[in-house]
Amino acid sequence: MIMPYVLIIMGLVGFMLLSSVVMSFLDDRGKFTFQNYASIFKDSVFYKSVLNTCVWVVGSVAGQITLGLVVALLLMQIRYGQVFFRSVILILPWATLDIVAGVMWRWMYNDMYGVLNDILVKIGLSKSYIPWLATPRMAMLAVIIANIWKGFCLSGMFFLAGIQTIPQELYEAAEIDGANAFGRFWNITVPQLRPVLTTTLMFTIIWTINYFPLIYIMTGGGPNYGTETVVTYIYRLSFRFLEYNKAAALSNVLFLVVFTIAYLFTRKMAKEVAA
Amino acid sequence: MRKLLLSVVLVVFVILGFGKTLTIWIGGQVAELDETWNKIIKGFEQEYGINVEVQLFGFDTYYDKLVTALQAGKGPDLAFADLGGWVPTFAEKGWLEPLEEQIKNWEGTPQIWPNLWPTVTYNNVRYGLPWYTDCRLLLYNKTMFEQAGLDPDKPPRTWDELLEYAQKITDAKKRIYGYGVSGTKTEHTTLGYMMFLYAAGGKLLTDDYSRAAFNTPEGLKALKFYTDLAKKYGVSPNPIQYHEDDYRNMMAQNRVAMAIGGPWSFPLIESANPNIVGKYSVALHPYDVQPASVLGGWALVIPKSSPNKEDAWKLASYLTSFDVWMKWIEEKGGPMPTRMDVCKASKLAKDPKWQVIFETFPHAVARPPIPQYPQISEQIQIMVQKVLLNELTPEEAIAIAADNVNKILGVK
Amino acid sequence: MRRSTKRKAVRIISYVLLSFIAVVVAFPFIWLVLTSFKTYEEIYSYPIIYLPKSWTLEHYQKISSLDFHRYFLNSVIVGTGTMFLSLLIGIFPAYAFSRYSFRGKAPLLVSVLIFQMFPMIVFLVPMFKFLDKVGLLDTHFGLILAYIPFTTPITIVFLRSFFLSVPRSLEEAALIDGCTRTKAFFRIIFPVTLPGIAAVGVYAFLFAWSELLYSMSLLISKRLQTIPTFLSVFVGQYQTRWGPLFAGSVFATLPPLVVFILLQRYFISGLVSGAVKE
Repeated sequence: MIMPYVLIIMGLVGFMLLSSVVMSFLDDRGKFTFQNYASIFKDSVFYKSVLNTCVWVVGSVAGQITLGLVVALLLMQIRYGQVFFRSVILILPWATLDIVAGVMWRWMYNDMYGVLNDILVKIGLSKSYIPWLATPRMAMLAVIIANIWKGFCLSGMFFLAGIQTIPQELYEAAEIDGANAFGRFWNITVPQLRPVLTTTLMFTIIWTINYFPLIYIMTGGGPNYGTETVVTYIYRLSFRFLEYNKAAALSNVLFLVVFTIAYLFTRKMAKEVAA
Repeated sequence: MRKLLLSVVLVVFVILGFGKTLTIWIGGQVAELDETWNKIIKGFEQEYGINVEVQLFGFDTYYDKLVTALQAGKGPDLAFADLGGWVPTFAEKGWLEPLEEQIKNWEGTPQIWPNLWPTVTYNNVRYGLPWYTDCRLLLYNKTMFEQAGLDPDKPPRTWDELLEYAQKITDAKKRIYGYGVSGTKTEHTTLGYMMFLYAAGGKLLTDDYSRAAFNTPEGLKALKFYTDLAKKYGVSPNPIQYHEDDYRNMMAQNRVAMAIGGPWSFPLIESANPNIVGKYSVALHPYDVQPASVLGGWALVIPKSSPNKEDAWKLASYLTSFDVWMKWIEEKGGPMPTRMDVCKASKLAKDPKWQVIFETFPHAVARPPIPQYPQISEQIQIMVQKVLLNELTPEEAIAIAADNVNKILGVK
Repeated sequence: MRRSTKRKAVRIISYVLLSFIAVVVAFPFIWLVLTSFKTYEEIYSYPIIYLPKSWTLEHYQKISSLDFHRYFLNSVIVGTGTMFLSLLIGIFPAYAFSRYSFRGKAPLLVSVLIFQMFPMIVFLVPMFKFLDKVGLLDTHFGLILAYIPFTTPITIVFLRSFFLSVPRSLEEAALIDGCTRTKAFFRIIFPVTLPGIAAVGVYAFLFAWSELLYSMSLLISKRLQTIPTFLSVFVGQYQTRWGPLFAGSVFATLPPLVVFILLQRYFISGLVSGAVKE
């Protein structure tokens, strides 16, 4: 059942992986060299980008998973207005194109004529205009917020679908046994959701590591490399500096990290077979 | 019999049609220009009987698409390339067709502004035909000058005057500022610094583009003044977040009085605030030691992969011909042509704003036309940002930047 | 009595919270819609104007004069094509992963994910060259194929986890009754996991719908290009043309919304309970 798919994918993957590895060991004249990898590890921007990537991933993933779970749970509690709330909350941010979301958030974060600051000041949550993108720390926060907004729908939708698949009797039985809401959540919802939770977590992490349009459009990786992640750096190397070999080397290094993360997850997942 | 003849004729037409569809990719242009482009291209199609497919693209995304296509060995027949360093970068990778022969034999060549040729040259061979150009000036809001008690027809000429005027206008509480300093991680910041660097008598790289040349007292002075405008004197909104385009919008809102701008700014500031027509102008940017400006623009290049190079050149020379440019100016009132004869003969010559542009242009320097320019530009941006963020002193920042630039250039 | 008032309280709080979240989440989009009806003067005015005074249609007229409908259609083709193909390719491997134990399961699972582990930009040029060689460059089908390695991993892995939560006893019951595995799958598993299948379908559709880099580079002819490429024209060198950009975005958001509304009625629970009890 899986064999044809796997064979094709392995073939394609093998080919692309090979070309990427080969490229990373060549210099622009086509000679074999370790220079690309050496220059990465000597590069202070590389280390900065790794740190930023960690912050970016942890912040975004925590936010997205939490918000997604909260929304899914809330949606389960109401009876009317399902379609309305789902359509507004779970799809609008996700359906906004990256390029549009990027320029729009950048415009909203503007402290001279941006809507966000205007509203915050008008409703009194802030006394002065917040320079969202003006320092490396603030910029990272701003970008993470925008990313949570854009990406939580995926978690929300999958959690909702997952919760829907849990048999209703489990809850009814527990209620009869006297379990309160929290007990029901902790002892039924969470374990039942575990496969979906694990998968969503893994994907959100991998996807966030490799996602760059929002950051690039909003800050370009700045200020002063404050929001430069490994992927924005790869993008800049490939498409702006045209240093393909170094970019290939960097993506291979990234791949190893992501591979490790994925492997740890999938080892756990492989043991799971339906009860 | 007639049917057979008809189908033969059809097939012949189809074959002829197939072989002769030129594709031209136009990047960076605001979408409103598409009608004019279609008109001009139709004129070419009628005159030469060659089909042309025109595609417009944004700016950043255009670069991605062009680079991908060229790298994979496929591209359009004719493409636009930014004069801010794209042509040498592409030429070095062997993606472009040398145009030296065609340019030598073309009637319009002597008419092209001379300081443009270095931007399309790589290894002494010309690879592009400059199509439009511009240079950077001081854009300023006359209304705000008047309100601050300054003479709107006497814009500042020196750095001291710039500071003085900016301070008079700035009222931080009301969020009104005198001069906008570009400090984003984009090309605008490099251009901003260069305006001050050359005005102080400094240089970015040595004349043979082999070493960094801005780590000098002049370069340091420029860096200090540029960043102090924001940090010390507070005459600019937070520069890290903003660049020229943002300041132009703020100028339309009457909140920033001066910023760097150019001919492209005119239609954009007028559409943002129709009431500002006649209430803004441009002038030579204030300088310290000598007048300075930085030029930019776009050139037409022919990818090596094109099977229709001759026709592509025909289109390129058509677009850059005197008549076509005059038509363009008539319709759109800009941008600045690369032909001196058009500049002198068209209605632009009568507009005082354009007179300033034409006077300044010969002083304009080009950015180093070398393949590593993007990396060098990044170093300048980081340098400025580090100083603006108070992470380094100007002395430290400029030393590190010069060091990195030399590393990029392969200086031992 | 006490339980139902508690229920009511929970419900009311949920409505309040959801409304708040809905407003916050939808705000950028509302801003987008409002801006698409403003003139440039209103867009750039300060202090900020929230409600358009003129309600102009000029931006919508602009994008329709640029043949927006063609790009729209192309996006629909690529989006639905990717959705169906991903589901087709992904369902069976997902089922196998959830039901069988076999050697090399973990590595296989990882290999399914491999494409996700690289940023998409890395494969752009190799993919370009590959499609060129097989003659699928500048075709919608070629683009869909290029997306498949990026959508099927999620399809497989997520569907697997949904299939996992369906107890084996259900199929066993059907198999005992004489069904083949395939029939059991379609009769029992498929309906129960419809929410998951729908979710994954939406994901694949949206991925293809909003993707910019590949669609811009792998589709060369203007008549084949998709919405993201079209909208990128408005992010110019000196200015972002907010009007047409937002007008186009409003239309670009409608199909995913419609697809979602249509599919999300499959997000219904309770299909499991009946079968086992019998």
